[in-house]
Amino acid sequence: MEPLLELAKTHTTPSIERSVLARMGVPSYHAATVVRECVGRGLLGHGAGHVVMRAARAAGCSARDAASMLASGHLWDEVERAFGREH
Amino acid sequence: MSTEDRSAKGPHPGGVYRLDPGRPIDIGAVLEGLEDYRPRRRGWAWRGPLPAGSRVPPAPFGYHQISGSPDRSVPLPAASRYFWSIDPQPEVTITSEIASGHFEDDIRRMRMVAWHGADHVMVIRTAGQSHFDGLIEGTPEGVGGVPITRKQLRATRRALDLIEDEVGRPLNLHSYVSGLAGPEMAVLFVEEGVNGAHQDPQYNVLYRNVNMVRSFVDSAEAKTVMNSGSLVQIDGAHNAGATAREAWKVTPELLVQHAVNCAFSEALGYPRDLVCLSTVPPTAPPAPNVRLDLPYAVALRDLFVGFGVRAQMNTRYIESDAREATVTHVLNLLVTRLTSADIQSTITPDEGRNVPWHYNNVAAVETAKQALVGMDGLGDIVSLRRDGPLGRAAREIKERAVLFLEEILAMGGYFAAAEAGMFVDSGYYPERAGDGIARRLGGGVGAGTVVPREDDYWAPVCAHFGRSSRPADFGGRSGGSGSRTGAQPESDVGSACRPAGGCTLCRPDLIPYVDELDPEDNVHRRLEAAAARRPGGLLRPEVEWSGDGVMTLTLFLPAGRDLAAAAALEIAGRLGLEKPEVIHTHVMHPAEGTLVEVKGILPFGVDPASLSVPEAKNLLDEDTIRKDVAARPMTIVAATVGQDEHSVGMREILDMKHGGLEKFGIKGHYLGTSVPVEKVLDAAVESDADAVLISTIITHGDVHRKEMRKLHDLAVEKGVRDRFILVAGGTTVTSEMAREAGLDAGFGRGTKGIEVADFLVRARAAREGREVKGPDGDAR
Repeated sequence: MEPLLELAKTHTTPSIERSVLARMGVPSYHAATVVRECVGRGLLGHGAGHVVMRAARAAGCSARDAASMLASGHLWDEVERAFGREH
Repeated sequence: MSTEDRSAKGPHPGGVYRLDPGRPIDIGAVLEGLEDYRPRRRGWAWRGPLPAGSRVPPAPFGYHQISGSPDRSVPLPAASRYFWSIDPQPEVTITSEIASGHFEDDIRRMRMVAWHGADHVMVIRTAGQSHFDGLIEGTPEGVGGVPITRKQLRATRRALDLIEDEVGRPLNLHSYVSGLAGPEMAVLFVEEGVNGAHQDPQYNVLYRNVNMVRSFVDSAEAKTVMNSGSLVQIDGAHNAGATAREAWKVTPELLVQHAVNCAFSEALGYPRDLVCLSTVPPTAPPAPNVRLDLPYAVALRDLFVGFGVRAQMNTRYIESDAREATVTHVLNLLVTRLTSADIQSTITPDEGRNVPWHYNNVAAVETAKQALVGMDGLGDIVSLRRDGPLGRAAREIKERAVLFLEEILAMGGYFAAAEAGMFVDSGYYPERAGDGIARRLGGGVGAGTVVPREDDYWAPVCAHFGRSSRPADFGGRSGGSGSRTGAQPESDVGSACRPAGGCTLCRPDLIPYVDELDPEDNVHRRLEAAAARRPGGLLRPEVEWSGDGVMTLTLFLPAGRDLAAAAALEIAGRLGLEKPEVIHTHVMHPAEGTLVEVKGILPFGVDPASLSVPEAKNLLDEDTIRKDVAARPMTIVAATVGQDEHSVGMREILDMKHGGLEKFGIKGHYLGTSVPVEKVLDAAVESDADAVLISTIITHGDVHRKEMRKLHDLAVEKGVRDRFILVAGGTTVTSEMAREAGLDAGFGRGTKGIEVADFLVRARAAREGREVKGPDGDAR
């Protein structure tokens, strides 16, 4: 079992990340959009919840509001900067 | 709109909706205010077994494998007349799998099965949901099941809470945490108070062709979430038995599949008693199935000590014959009683011919209840012989399973074995037929979606599995130690989510409610359509959906199969059934005849207001009648009066062997046929009878009315009217008619002895200023 457990501990998936956002109170349709965008930008490995927390800090709002803004296409530049990416 | 506003407008006083056993469930009330509804508990509820030897009063029997009786239920058919209406419940959970395609109709069926002893309802998902990469919202229509959504689950859980209060015991709701959205489903299930779920990463790989890496990584998270909500999980091994052509040959593999899911679950921290092995007796008659099935059942229970067992019934070998299916299922229940089970699942007897119908769900639950109660305590009087062929066969299956596991290890592990097509091969391992299901590591739905976690990976929620580090600038320790191994420790639950202001597992108020997304495909439109099928509350037959109009005809036709089927369709069509379809044929003899069942849609309904419904008979139970007669002996004089030579009806009312008055200890003097009314009364006076029964048959010119009137008048004339209870019977007699004629009661066609006995005992008691009551303290 150890190799399977190690694999699970060190990897994540879109569904896991949507489930994290769900636990943060984000409605499923916003979670789907945010995670899709994270995958596209190569940010999923940081954790979608982490991305939302960074966005919330940048915008000075709650995690749920940040997720909603991310789903509408806002705050992504701030997020990229927080993860040390240059434009 | 606030809760108060809604309740003030709602049809239910005080705004609190409770089920009334005399009324259908109000789906509208279940849907009202759903956005504010919270499930009242999380986790699974087992039945509480009663101590060995417990009785179910007033029955004298001691039971050894039962749980408490519900407050309300429908007992087995034989119970009300012969067994004091008791409804003993087995100690094991009983499952009903429900799949109408409309959750609002599922709910009505859940109420039916709960009244028959099911306390675990499994909602089958709509076809295709496992490949949906995300959650579905709203209440769209399903195929072969329903889309599992937040609204559907919340409404269903709320309805089950109402039904729990009605039947007086906990009911478990169950569905599937599989496919591409397992972790999200798991969160949804915990949030909405779902109590159990199928969860097995191998199921996705083998039967849904989900990428194997994705399936196992998702599964670790899903199981961790489910465990936080104390959900029972059921594995997917039974599917191998349902897929292989010769299911009895896959038993070594079944043990391997159970082992993989059990070991994986336990490594994730899942307690054994909540991990249930899904096991099906693999074969069915005409194979010698108990001899083939039992060694596997024994081997499984030998190996997986402490885990739960979910015993399922066989679906692999079911055809359209409901009787045949039921016998197979009873044999499956024999295997359950000879070994053990924690959850007994049921398969409907119509599974082989259609998506199950309402009453077949009830039939399957009753089959389980009846057989399990009938075999109560079997293990105390019968034991398995382990020193003969059973022990040898069980050991052989275990040895084959161990060899199977060793080969998997030698190949390089589970993924390598799945790539090599090791699973669902129809050869009896180590024999290989080469027809197993092979999956590629990089193939399947969802391939390439698994990504490595970065060093700064963080999931700020509870019940999360694997490496996650809270960053230093969010209050984490520098270097991000976080929770690096396994699920977060117990103490971490409730704190992992603090930086995010809480998570929905800790704070249900954070759960977002999502209502309908499709203005047309939803429950509200379907309820309108259902109402249109039953304008003005017309009653229509139904098998799945409200007002579907489906009914069946059962015909024996003296012809071979093909001709009989064609004739049956013609008959159904001429009777006016729409879309007639033959659903079952069974040859009695190739030339002498065939049994045919046809279904069709009845194109009309009946208006309940136009019907005259006879008053309900609340009869005393047999014991109460017998006791009253034993305490105060009762004698009656009976005769067929007038010019009438018929005696059959009267004899049936009197005779012991027909369940007549003699059975209750009532002493009867039968004077014969064509007896003048005067003679009947004289005999009554002479034998100091309590009652006089006269029988009349169809007559010309109202002779029967005249005979009744004459009996009354003569009794008054002789001054004995108050001494006797005067009763008349006959095919055309009604109680109203008899009372009009001055008698105390009248009984018509189809009257049973107990009805007359009930009347006599009560009427005598009333004359004496007494009241006779049944064992419940209430006349029933």
